[in-house]
Amino acid sequence: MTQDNIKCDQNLVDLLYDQELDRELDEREVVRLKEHLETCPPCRQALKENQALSKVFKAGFTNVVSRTSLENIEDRVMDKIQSRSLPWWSRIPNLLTPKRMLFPATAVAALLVVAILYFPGSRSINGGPSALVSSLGGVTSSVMIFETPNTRHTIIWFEEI
Amino acid sequence: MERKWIAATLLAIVLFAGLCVPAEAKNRVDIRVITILASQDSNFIDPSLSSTVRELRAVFRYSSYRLISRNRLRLNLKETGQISLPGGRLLRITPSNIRGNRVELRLSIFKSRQQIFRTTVRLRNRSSMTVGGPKHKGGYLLLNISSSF
Repeated sequence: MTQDNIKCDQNLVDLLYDQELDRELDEREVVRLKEHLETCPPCRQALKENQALSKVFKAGFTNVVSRTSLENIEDRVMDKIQSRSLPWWSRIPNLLTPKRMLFPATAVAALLVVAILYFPGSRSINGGPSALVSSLGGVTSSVMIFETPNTRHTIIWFEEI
Repeated sequence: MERKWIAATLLAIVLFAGLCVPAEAKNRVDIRVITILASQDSNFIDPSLSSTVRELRAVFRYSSYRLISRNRLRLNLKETGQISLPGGRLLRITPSNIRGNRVELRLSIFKSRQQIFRTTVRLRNRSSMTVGGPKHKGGYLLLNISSSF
């Protein structure tokens, strides 16, 4: 089917598509296209269908975009890009920002408290007498060993001759 | 979020490992000796001895506790340190080994170059013990010995 000097074939359909979406036609092509559409009902119909389809697509796209926080997406994408391009040791300061470290820091503090409470070296009263006497000797007349009741503090008393 | 947990876990492991360094790896012992003169001749307790005297009063009935001297020794295992005591006496201390949370100390007291008393004790880390008995100026000397490693 041919009319004017514009052929009604796939080239024309492509032109219609370009006009609607990409605005790539120059002024001369637009004039020629408009003149052809006035006299070619099939192309006019094709253009109408193309426009309707574009409208539906744009409406849907706008709806999705309006419900998406583009700022968050941008931040996450930039973080990913930066984290992949930087060496691992330079990312450590980012892990130590106050907000990010709050929960892990609390977990570490809890672990330390448990370790200090249950670590044998920290026990004072419950670990037996402060000193265990292994041997005694010397020039003495008597030796006595005491242990204080509350703190189990060891006292060695010897009498000089 | 996963990276934060990994970092926190690594930090906890490193800190906990620092607390769990085997005792055998520690070769230096910090020893402090407080020499006290206990007597009945007055009512005086040196303010700096209040916590020490609180423990001693559970056993002794002295009314006066005076600070004579404070000494500090930092000794390696098997190294001997000595402290001069009133009345021409000498205290020698040798940390011989560390087992668990106790350090084995060999204590010897000399008077006029003669050993008058010796003992071997296993003192708990960051704890203290008292050796008493030598007479001095109407009272008795008490040696409060503490150690940490």
